[in-house]
Amino acid sequence: MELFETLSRLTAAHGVSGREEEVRALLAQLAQPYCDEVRTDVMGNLICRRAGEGPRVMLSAHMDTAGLVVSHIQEEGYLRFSSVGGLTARQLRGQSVRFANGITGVVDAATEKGEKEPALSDLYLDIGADSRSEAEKLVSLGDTAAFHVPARQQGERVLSSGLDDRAGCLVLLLVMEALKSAPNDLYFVFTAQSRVGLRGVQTAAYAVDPAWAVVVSATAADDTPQADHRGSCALGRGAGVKVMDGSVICHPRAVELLDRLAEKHEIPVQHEVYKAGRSDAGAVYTTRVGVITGGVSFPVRHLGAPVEIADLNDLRRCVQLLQVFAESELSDL
Amino acid sequence: MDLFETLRALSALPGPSGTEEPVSRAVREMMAPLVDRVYTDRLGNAVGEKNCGRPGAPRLLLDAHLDEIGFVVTGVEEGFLRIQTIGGVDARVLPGREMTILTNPPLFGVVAALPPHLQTAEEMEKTIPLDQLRIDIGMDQQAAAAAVPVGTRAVYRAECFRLGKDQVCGKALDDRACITALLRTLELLRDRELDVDLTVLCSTFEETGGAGAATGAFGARPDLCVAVDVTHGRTPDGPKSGTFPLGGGPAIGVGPNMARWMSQRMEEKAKAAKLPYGLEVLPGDTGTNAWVLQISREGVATGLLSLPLKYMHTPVEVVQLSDLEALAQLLADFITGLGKEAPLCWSC
Repeated sequence: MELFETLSRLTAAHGVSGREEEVRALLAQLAQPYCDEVRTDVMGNLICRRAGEGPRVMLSAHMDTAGLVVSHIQEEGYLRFSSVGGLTARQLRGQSVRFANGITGVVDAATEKGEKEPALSDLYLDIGADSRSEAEKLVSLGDTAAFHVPARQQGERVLSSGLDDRAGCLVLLLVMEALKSAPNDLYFVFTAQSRVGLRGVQTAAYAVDPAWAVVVSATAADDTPQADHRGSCALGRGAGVKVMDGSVICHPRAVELLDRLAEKHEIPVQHEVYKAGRSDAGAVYTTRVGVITGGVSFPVRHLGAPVEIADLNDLRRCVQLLQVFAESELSDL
Repeated sequence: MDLFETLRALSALPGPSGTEEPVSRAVREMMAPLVDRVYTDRLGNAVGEKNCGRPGAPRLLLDAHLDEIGFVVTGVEEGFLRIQTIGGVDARVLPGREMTILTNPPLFGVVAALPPHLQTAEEMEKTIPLDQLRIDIGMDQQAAAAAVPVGTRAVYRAECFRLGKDQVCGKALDDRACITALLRTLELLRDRELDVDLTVLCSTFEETGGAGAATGAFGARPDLCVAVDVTHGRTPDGPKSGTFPLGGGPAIGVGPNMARWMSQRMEEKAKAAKLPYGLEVLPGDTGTNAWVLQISREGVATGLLSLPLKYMHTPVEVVQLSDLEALAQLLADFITGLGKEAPLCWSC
């Protein structure tokens, strides 16, 4: 699997929370050759098993992105919408979004210039339609749209919409491909509805019932001029070993093991503390009798913006670290 | 058992949420002689089981939490540590505090505090936001960065000592005082006949949402449970409502989180034994593990007993030993005969 080309395909696929069909189909197609079993559950999670003798181990990344959902079509053809997954008016205003069927529009505010910061309810989406009937030929109520800036490689950096968490999905695919042995019963899970409250991963983790889990997620890089030092990672310094975020405190055994494997295999890593954000790990560790949960992260600048920036080497380090983790002998208690 | 010495030993151990193992291990050792079996689980809970030997007996879970609030290092800047909090830390009380940095071996630290001479009038009026606070460990950048990796935890460093005749001051008395009370309860039950199977869950992660209680209860499958936690002790500067004077005994929780019959049974037992108590009316989320335990699996009939504590989430928390003893007595009386006397409908 070619890293940048696959990432381009993944970030281009539509998959706003709850409407993950397109990206899920792509992931299923890419994962199939490397897995013994691929299934979709009720919540829309894609669960891919690579069977082994050892304890059940779940590796997951979320496949949904934030976006917007059409809630009203005006007489004049403009669309009103709600935000899905936490996008703010500030992030949306002036940006272009695309629907699953390719229809594209621009978000603007129905307030006069110079007034105070518009609220989400002030925003509308213009798809170039002149009337309701014309707009209804292009989109329907309930359709979702998301940022769609295509991936572009500049040196070792990638700029794209949706790196959170499609780059994490890519990491899982590359781990599947790279695995030599599988002493553990591995479940690669691409979760749905993470952005609306870590929803999909809850049913997936309940169903898989793993002893161990590692969640692959984006972390806000703390190396930008506006960084408030609530995070700890910088681009290009290696795979993040999650210590904690706003939703989880990782199991000390998971942190220690990932550190030890990184040292042994000379994989550059950095500890991640990211109090401002949440990850699927926050819902995994409390599943059933508890799960020994860790996280592997890649720093992303401008997280949530139409164009995010990540480092390709960081992604490669994540793959290496997860591969040696998945190939290691894991014990339960 | 000596309540003060037990509490002092537990207070001294570091256990911020997620890294409670030193406390968990000590509690398992203390609990072992008082129960049939002790074990730990994936999230580090310290669990004790004491069975009554009657087939089909109801299963009662008692909960108190092991963890304390704390800090995590997010970076090193000119040798000073940047920190974020674990649990509900009060940033107002931080400057000038002593810290234990949980490296191996641990390091001393102090929270940097700008002298009053160097503060502007405006600065003196304001609380310093957490992202501007630093821990000084007396090292330069290179030495500090090598000694303290990102992710290292820290806790308050504070002696545990007697305050006046019967009160005790120290860090992490929330909720180690209630762990101590549960150990005392087990001691009181040693010579009594039980008609319930007892699980004592000393749980992790309470200060960050109750993950230990959730997973521990899932594993233990109780029918009934009582959460034991701290509530606010009364002080002259605080409100009269919703606070409880030290020495006035434990507070019995009343509200939707608690099964009505369990609150009532606690009150009846307190009256019968002439134990001091208060009633704590809680209209919704109790902010304790009771909230998590109640909805475990198919649901668990839940009670809440709280120990009055002053200066919650500071390094100088204060409890009164007579309240610990009264809580343990009340809980032991509550448990005695519970299997026979509990209503058939546990939710009533």
